[in-house]
Amino acid sequence: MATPSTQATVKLQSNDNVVIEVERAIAERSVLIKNMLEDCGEVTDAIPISNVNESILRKVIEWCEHHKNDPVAAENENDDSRKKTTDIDEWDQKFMNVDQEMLFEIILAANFLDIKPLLDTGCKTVANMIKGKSPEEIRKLFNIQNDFTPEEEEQIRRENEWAEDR
Amino acid sequence: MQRGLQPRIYFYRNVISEIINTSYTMSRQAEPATVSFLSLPTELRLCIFEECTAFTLLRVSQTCTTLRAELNSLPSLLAQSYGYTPYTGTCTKGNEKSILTIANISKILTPIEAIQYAILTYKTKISGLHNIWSIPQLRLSPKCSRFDNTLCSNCVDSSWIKVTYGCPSHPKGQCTARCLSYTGRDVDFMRKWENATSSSSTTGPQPGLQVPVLKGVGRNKLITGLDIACWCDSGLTEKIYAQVLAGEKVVLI
Repeated sequence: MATPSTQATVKLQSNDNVVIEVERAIAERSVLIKNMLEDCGEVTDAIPISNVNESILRKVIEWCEHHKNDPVAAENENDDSRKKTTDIDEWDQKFMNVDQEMLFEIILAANFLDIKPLLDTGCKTVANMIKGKSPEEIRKLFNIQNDFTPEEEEQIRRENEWAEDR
Repeated sequence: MQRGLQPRIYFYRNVISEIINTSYTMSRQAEPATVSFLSLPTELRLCIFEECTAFTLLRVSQTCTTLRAELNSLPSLLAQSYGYTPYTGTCTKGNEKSILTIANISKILTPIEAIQYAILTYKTKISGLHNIWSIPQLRLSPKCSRFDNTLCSNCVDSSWIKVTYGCPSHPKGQCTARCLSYTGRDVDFMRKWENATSSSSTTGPQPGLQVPVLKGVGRNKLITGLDIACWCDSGLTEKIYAQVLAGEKVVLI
């Protein structure tokens, strides 16, 4: 076990080789980075975040800065306790008001960096985008090809028609 | 001096990179050129599905074969979704018990979904004329301020929705119907409000909107009932049964 470090900042390097210096407390919103710093002790070099590019890393850091004082969820906290609602606070809604590709990239980065609250917010945002839409609207939203055969469409129609017979 | 340190730096970088990419790795696939909903790793789509109601999941499962297979392979996720009820009946008409269908939907969370549900079931009643993929013209309006201002502050579990249905018998190709969905309201007040609103209209026949009647809660008979009638007096009527929860906002789509 490495000696606990007192360094105030850490450097993060995106996969397009941009180094961003950030407060350690902010970086440690990422469980991945937090565990790594605990294991390695003082790290003076930039930590390569190999799956995240600069723009996404800056967005993630922006989120971590805003939420740096939020209480950290217990490690084994029951998932149900953080999935009660699809409500998203106003700041997070604005934060997530980005194009769809960036939204998915943020979700991927949150997953990779193990930032569960950010991952939850991203997933809730996508869920809210789907909510109340018809299959055709969902296809259009996510550019999904309708690959059902006419027989499969008929099958689905009959499955749902059945509900009227009760 | 600097040059002498470089190998150690690179070695250390490699160690850190190794730690990130092995010990702490998540099951992320090779990164695609552009990220889309279908290219997300399955476990992340699952995280998104966990935030959806059963009715939303039903709609997602009707988009493509991949999502239909994926969702129907997740019975525990479906069972935990809001508004899901397992099928216990015996009817198997065109249906497999393990497949998510509208028969598994027992509750609707939002006004938008209530309307979608109503349209879906309405269309299946007159199957042959419509299919489930095309939705009639549908618009939701913001809450009516006239109505909203009269609400008592503790009556939070209501929404006011305006629906525009496509209607083939209307001269303009469509007709409008007003829809009111509520629970726990003063029925007399609602009746007066409806009468006042109807009499203030100057064009077209009066809509046959009826005062909502509280329905029993049960399988596919949700908490609030409402008859919608077409303004063009075509006789087109529909009922919406929906449980509208507190805090839901009607939004423009």
